[in-house]
Amino acid sequence: MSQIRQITRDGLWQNNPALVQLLGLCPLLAVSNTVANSLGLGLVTLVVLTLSNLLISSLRGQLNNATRLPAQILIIATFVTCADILLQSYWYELHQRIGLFVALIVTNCTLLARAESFASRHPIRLATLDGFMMGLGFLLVLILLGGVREVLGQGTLLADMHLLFGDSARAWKISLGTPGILLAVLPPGAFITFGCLIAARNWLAQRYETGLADAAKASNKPLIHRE
Amino acid sequence: MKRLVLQLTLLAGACGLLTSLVQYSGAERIKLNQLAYRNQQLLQVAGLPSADLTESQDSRFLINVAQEPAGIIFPISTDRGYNGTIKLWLAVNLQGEILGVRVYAHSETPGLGDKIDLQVADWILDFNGKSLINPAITGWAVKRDGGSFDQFSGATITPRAVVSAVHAGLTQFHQHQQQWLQETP
Repeated sequence: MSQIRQITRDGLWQNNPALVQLLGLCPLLAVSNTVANSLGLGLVTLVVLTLSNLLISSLRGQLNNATRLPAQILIIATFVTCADILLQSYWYELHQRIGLFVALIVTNCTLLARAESFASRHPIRLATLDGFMMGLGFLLVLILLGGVREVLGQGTLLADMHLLFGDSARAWKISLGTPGILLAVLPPGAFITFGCLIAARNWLAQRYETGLADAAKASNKPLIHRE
Repeated sequence: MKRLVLQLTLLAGACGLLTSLVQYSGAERIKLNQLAYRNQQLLQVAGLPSADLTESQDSRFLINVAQEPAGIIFPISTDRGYNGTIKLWLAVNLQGEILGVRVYAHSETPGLGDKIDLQVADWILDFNGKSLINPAITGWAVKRDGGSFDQFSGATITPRAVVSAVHAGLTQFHQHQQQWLQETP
């Protein structure tokens, strides 16, 4: 039970692939100009990461040091290619926008890192959960980044969601009427926004840790007193 | 050693099979999607999103509204820009009036000549509704040359090239209209 909690905490916060490990930044920064694009790429990454962890973990007994890496890359590349074809079949317009970066998921270090450092050493259940949580952590950061950049850059939120959810989702678009700042749409804006997100995460983590330390000190005090 | 080779070969085979299956099952759909997407982009040029398109010859497309021919979309290009070829789609109705013009490939200077691109500026929309007789032949030039189309400050060559390319396209349409409307793929 505690293992499941630990994996969840690791993926979403403690060891978040984007904010802490700083992996997969190329697609993260390139695609995160709207929530719709972010959600698209994030979901594909999540699915591929979960499936590749599942398969790599289930084959871990068969593979040795020499065959592990090629096998992992092969599995990841297969899932990414399939995801790419499915995206073209069912979400063609979305694929027109993020297609280049879907293929690049193969080179997203998060996937290989999780395969090598976790999935190949843990049972299927935990490995799948790890893939899902790491993917979810990546997805959430992408959406957050996409949301901030869309609001700053275009003055809208949830624009173009019909690319994912069909025509009824056109109505989800919220126009804030604020002027768009070009910088937020351009790549430097992605770096600046991402830097702010990392800073915010570090600040929160530090505050939480000092809070814990203070609490520990307070509860320890009488003990020290007695001695 | 033998076992390892066999393992990897089997895995590669399985992966290849899975990919081929997905590819095979999606091929038809993807082709349809590509066609629909291209038609949608072209109909946006003409400003008639609900019309039908049929491809005829030499990348020309017939626009049909309610089964009736309403115009033609065809590609034009010019090498007289500042840098490289400028490629455009020109949509014209049966009266010879422009429904829309869009640049789809160019390498003009960013910030100067690239204002011919709708993503950068609205200049290209000035052509809507124009024809060979509106404005008259002397008007088919940029303002600096005594015509009726704006040039951009610092970039005259690019809009001059586009204006003359569009005019040439209209002339071409005028000459071949009957033939183009009757041809089938």
